[in-house]
Amino acid sequence: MFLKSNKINRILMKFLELFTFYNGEYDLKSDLRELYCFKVKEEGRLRAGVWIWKQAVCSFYKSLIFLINWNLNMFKNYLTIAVRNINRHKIYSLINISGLSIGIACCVLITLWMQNELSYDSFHEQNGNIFRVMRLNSVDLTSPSVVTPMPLAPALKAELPEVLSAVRTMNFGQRLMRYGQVGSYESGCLLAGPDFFRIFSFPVVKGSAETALEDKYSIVISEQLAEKYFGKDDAVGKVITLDNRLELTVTGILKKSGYNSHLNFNYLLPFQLFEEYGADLSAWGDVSYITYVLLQPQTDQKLLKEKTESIIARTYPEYSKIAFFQAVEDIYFDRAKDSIFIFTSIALLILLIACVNYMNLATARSAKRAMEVSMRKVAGASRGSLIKQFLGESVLLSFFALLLAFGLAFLARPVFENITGKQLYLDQLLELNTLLILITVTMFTGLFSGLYPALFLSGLRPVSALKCAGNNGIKRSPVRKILVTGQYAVSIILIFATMVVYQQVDFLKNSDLGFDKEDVIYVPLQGKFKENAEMIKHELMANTGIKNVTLTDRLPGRYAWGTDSPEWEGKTGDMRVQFTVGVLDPDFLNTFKLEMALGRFFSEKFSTDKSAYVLNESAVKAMNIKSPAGKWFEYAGRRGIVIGVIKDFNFRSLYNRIEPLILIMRPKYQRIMCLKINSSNVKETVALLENKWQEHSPEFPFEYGFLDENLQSIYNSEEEFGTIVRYFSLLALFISCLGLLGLISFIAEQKTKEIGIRKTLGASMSEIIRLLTLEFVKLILISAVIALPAAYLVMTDWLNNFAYQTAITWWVYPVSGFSALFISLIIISIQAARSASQNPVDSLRYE
Amino acid sequence: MKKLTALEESILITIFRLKDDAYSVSIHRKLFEMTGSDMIIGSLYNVLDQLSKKGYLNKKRGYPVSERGGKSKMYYSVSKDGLKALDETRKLHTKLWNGLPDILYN
Repeated sequence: MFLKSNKINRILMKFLELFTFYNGEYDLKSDLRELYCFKVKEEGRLRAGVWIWKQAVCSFYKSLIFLINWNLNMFKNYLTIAVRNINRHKIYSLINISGLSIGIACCVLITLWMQNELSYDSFHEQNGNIFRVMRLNSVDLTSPSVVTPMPLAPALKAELPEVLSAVRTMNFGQRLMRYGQVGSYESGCLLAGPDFFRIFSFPVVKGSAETALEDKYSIVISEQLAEKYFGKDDAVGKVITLDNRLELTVTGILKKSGYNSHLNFNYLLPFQLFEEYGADLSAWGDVSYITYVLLQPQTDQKLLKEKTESIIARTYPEYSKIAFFQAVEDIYFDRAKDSIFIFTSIALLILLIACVNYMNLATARSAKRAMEVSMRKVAGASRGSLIKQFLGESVLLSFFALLLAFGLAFLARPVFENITGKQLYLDQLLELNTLLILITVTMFTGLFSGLYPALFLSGLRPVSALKCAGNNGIKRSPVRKILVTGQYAVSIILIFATMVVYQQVDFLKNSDLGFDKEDVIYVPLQGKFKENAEMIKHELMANTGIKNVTLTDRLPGRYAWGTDSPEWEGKTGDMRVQFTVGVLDPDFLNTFKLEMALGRFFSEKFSTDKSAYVLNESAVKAMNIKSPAGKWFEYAGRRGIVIGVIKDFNFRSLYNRIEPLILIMRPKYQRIMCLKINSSNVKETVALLENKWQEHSPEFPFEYGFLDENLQSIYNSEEEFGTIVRYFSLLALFISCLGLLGLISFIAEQKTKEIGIRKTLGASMSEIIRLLTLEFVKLILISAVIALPAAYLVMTDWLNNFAYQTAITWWVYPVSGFSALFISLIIISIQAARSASQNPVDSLRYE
Repeated sequence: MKKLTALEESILITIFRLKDDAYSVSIHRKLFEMTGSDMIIGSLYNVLDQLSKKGYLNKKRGYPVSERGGKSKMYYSVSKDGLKALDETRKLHTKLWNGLPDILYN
């Protein structure tokens, strides 16, 4: 009795056909049909109808269980086979795992680092509505400037309803902090308006964030500072003396760990306090402050921009062009995105090399697997299931490598932290996001590296595979050669890069800046020492240990402060030149052994020199003046005569070309005493200086430094970069050598018979070694030929970041090429020697 | 030798009793006849799969048949291991019940 062509029952049947997951062995549809017949006979059509529905639906659920079970078993099966295979070829598996795990370990570290970088400023509650005001620089209309007028923040808050809060900030450098007996210079001071904590969510653990910056004479300090000055006592409410004259109450303690921000400070001072340092808080012309605003959600930024510009234009139209409002979450990323890109690429590159290794090795060993593959095919395995098997193997290997990679990353973490100066929190590894990323990376590694071997191996023909009984290798495919060449090319490029970076850093640190920076001590001026600086200067010059003393506002090599407002004789109306300004005294020239190109330097003999100007050669060029000597020049309201032109020297870092420079004498702005000393008795001279200091400013700690060290530290980040590239190139080389080792031992094993025969026919050791090595040496030479031009292009591009570049010396090319070659030769020759020294009797017996 | 669950045991015995004629439908009917339980076909399939994975069943393909739309039926029989397992289960059962009265509840 068949199922009546009931519409409902037909649907049921169709559903069963499509949706149950039993494989061909269990024919659900037919079985139900049969049983239905019986049921109808025994209990009638109605009952039978109900019964079949129940059976169908429940069997559907049962089939799901079946499916899961089946897949689990399949998985277990593949796993067992994969593990068995890995055990069978222990050495190769080890080589593969170590290569992959190094690659994955790099990715682990880079992932942690990148998450750290991306987390900057992500902790603010008001994120999405916090913006930094970016102004358009009036001289260079393309690059935005962060500095805005002093009164902008309060004005925006007061006048614009869409601005809920606004705060102005300024980096206030190092201040002298004192409490009781403890007193020292503390860096990381930030001036901030009272709305600071309303906009940003920096964690204030003690005290009230809302009111912390409201009173002018308050200070918010970090936990570390609190411990340093107050120990275990509660710091809130206590009074700290700042710069030996201001009494500030501690109103809050800031937690410094557990978050990252582009605003990096150790303590906060209310912006109002700036008045005590002589600042005019309503000066629209003072453009040195960073303004942050908290906006209403969905504020029209274009409208806001216009409103802001009109506010500034009321007093200072030339500073009123606004570029845009930058979201605070983007600030750090904007700066960091280059290095994120570079590091991610390097990590992926190394992983790529490791994958290529795997591919190479897996396909080279095809002879050994040929038997297994053909047996399986004969037993009826489809190509698809073979592919799945091999992919499963590579994925399994990758996961083993992942485990090993965790261990490697753990070991390498201190090194990495040293290099980048950033903390890596290993417990981030337990976070879901990170784990997901790493597991995805591992899966892709496994699939990517396993795909080519899987396709290759599953495509082997059983007949031809069974015929060659495993010892004559499959023809050497060009693909494999390309892969090895590629690996070595990458390693050579990295070695090249390392050398170039080191050369550039060396160059930056040691190049001639146009002035004498050796044996120069500098002392920042404070207190009475600063007031009596002129007098002290003359006293010191009488000393034999001191050759020359000069007073300046900044260290040469670190000039920064600039202006574009000067006027001069012969200036055409709309011309704008950006000058850097340096304040010094007449002894500057001799202290640093500079030279004049034209005219004369400042001298004490001429009292008019107090308002005179000295320009540098670049300034004259930019001003487009023929003979500047004797012409008038006006800056900051003071008009004077240009008495001379000084030869160009690098008053800023080597990141910048030499730009126009104005030199003036303004004793009020002198902040540092620079002393050129006799190198033979440095210690005594320093002691002498300290004594002098204690005579005049005992309440301030004595600080000094060496100019050459200070200037070299500018390039620390490049040095770090060089170290990183060095480590990466070592890694890449190591992995390439691993690959080569695997390949070469395999080839040697394959050729055992051949070597045995040649030996019996009388070949010498060296001939046999040559046999094995020649081919690989050729490959490496080819990779060098490819790599070196590429390396040249990449490094020249990098060097263009610097205004002053070192030339790439000729020997960098052969050294990078030959170092790869050299190490490879060692590996090859070890293996070759081993093969060559095998007893021919044994090798010929090898079947 | 893995222990047999009660369900597995009953199915295995049923297959044994059916001798040459044990396939999905016949097993289901015999089971119903002997134990009165109207099993879900799906669970029967799962158990059959379980048993054959353990090696207790031998499978044989029958001849294609028109009622099945040209497909053949799969016939099951108890394998040597299956028989051993049944014997062990029986032995265990006997040991456990040895000496106890025929009817426990009075």
